[in-house]
Amino acid sequence: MDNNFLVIENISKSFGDNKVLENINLNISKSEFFGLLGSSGSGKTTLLRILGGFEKPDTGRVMLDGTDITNLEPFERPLNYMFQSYALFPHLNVFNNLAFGIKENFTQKEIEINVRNIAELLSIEHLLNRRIKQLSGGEQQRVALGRCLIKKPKLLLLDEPLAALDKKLRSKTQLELTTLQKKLKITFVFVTHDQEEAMSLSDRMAIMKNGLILECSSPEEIYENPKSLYTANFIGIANIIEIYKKGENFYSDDLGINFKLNKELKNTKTNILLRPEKIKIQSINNLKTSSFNSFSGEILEKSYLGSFTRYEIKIKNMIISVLDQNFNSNSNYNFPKGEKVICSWESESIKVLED
Amino acid sequence: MKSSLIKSTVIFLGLFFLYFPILVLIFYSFNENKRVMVWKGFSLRWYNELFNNEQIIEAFIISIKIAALSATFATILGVMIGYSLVRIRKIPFKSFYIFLSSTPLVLPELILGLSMLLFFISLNNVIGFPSSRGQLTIFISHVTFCIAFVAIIIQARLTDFNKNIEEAAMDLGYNYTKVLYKITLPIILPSIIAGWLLAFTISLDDLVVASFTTGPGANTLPIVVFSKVRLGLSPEVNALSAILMFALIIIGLFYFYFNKKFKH
Amino acid sequence: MKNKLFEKYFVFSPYFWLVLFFFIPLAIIFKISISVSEWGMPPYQDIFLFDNGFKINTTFENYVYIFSDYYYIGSFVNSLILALISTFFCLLIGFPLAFYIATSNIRLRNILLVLVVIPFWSSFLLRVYAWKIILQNNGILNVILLNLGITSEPLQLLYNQYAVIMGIVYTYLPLMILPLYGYLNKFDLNLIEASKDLGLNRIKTFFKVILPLSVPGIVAGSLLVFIPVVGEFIIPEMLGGSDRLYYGKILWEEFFVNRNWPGASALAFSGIIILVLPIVIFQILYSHWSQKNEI
Repeated sequence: MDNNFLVIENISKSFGDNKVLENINLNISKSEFFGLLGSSGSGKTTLLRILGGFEKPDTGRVMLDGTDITNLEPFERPLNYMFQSYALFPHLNVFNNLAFGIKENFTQKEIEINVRNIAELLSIEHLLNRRIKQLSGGEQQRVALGRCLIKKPKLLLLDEPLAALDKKLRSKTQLELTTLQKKLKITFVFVTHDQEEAMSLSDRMAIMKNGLILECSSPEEIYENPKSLYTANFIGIANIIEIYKKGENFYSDDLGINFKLNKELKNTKTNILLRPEKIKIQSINNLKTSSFNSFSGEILEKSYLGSFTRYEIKIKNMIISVLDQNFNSNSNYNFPKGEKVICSWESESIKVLED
Repeated sequence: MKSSLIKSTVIFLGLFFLYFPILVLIFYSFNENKRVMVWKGFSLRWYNELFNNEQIIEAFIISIKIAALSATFATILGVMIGYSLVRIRKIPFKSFYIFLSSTPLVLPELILGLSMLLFFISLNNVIGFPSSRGQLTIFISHVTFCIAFVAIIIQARLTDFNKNIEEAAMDLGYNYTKVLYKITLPIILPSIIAGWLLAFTISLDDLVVASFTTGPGANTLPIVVFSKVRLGLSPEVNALSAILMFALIIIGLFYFYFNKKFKH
Repeated sequence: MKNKLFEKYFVFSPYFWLVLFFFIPLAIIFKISISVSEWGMPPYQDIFLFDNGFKINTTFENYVYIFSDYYYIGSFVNSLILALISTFFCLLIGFPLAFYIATSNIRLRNILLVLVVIPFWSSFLLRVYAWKIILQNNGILNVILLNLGITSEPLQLLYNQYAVIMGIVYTYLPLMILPLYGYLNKFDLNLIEASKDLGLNRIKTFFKVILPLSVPGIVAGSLLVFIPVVGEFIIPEMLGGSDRLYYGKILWEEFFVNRNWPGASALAFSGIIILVLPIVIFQILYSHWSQKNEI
């Protein structure tokens, strides 16, 4: 695999006094499906627009397949960009929207064949003569995708590719998009603010905040072993507990319990992450409380979510979220509100956050 | 129920107020009598006289010619301004540019007319041109004050226009010039037509600026009509009104059709 | 940037035209307004004299002259009052109309809007002329009044300031309704219902919710009516009498009848400074502001 298919080097960008991107470095491999995840204002869309050529970076460069494309105009780049709004041409029908990018260099017959092929790939053959206004959101999304793919780009940039679709359609399209990408082997880079979307689409993803990349890894790695407090909170539900060294072990004032870590710490004080599904919840009668890696608390809130039940458990000064899988048909595992329970976890489940 | 009755009444009275004078004018244009106010019977006599009135016909032709030409020039320049203000970042002395392109909208016509006349006279003193005023000078003046109206329509349209559409075209391989001709202009074409229609009507209807900048052989329709009705009534003008109102209202309807922004 | 040559044409072609045919003419008005008047053609002296060395020959006489003569100031004040009254009546008629149009259902709304604005497209001059017919001594209005027995002999309705106000309100009404409608259309009708739900009656709802929210529309519409009315020439000329003189008429006569070019120019330039400049400055500031807040 070519790890340096797309190389982003020291990219910075400001709009006036507002620093939008600060010294961004990223390497993206060929045929990778890469996600940029961040809340609004994190700079993710600006970075994508720099790749598309719509913004010029203040510093740094972008290399695509060994060529420096930093100073190329959008129409000179061998890549395509799918806009969040789809930006379909309202004065052209679907056929002409699809054919738009190849009209100049192809004969009428070649255009015809190419459009048919791409329409078949995306199952929109029946829409070719429609006007854009007559299309549903999902159909527009396909046309926008087809309009880019017909150019056989080396790289496809997608700005919030699913944001304009309703929830039901989104999960279906998610699957189609990954299948399509694996089939075509085109490198996809997309931007999203939706963590679930990022996790389910990406081979690897980067978490962005305030113009910086906090971390970049596979979804599993980012969920299981986040490095920063921000990432831990941003992805999934997180119980964050502040602990400090006390004698041999670590102690949390909020919970009033001791932690045993299987790893040495640099600092005497740190935050740890405990994902809610890693916590085991048991009736207080079944077990004695051990002084390590477990606590007893009272169920404050519970919401039944089908395959899971989510509990909010109060212990001393803190409320801890626990996700309990509903294994059995009987309600052994369903604790009522107000019940005292014991929560415990493996010491490997505790993740130390670096900052 | 009560509030909807008030509502209907207000709307009815409002529309009545707006249309009553126009209907009166059309009604009297069919009056046989030379004394406009005394009804003598239905007749198309004044329409007939109107079509045989060479002065009015000639003025009409001149007006149409000037209006079509100045609307075309004003549209070209107005589109350029609208585009520049929305899409081009680097405009030297931008405040001055905005000043030039928006002041004609608020400047009383009288002042504009006077400034144009004094300008043409001064220009003639300096370079010997234009030696006399006429259709050319009216044309120049009309272009100048119609530009702003077109510019504002185009500016509004382009502000609404999703810039991503232009970027998408660029992304698909079209350079700046091609994007302009294949995407931007075709998409805003209805607004361009609307701008032209507005400029055409303003030029056709203008009396004040034309009165200042006119000269021998350049009596536009409003100038002729004004000279006829300034001190009294004219049955021929009644007939002309009916025709002109009708024609202009049709143009207005076309304007609404093209300027869809209006409808949201 | 490549292929962006057209941008230069787009910026500079209208720039050139407007500097030449708009800015320079304004500058010439200013130049003549500070020139010394004399008998002859043109009826003013050059501001730069070269006979005995270089000399700048300017004067503020013309401004002093018009600002110290009640004939000029008075008519300018008349115009301002006329504009104020007309704007008020346009607002009085225009606001309920705009409000009720904005609260109609969407299909009716578009039809009504077009109906309201269409008269504005028909000839200005002829719409004023129509009032001349209506207000004649033997015109429709007098006939109705006589038949109803309200008056026993025809009233002199034409050729006075009331006829002028009538004509102005009629012709400028659409200019008031459009921006009003624009703002009223934007705001959420639920606000009115919410206000009623919270216990405010209809009148209080109007003063506490509807009116404050339509202030921008009221300002825009009022400016659109007020400014051109101050400079209005045709309507007083056709419907007005000799009871009141207005700015437009004075300017016209100063130029065409008295042939006092510097005086007319001073009048015109004062008009620009007093009327137009505040608005233009506001507009430029506003567009800068809105551009800054765009990103």
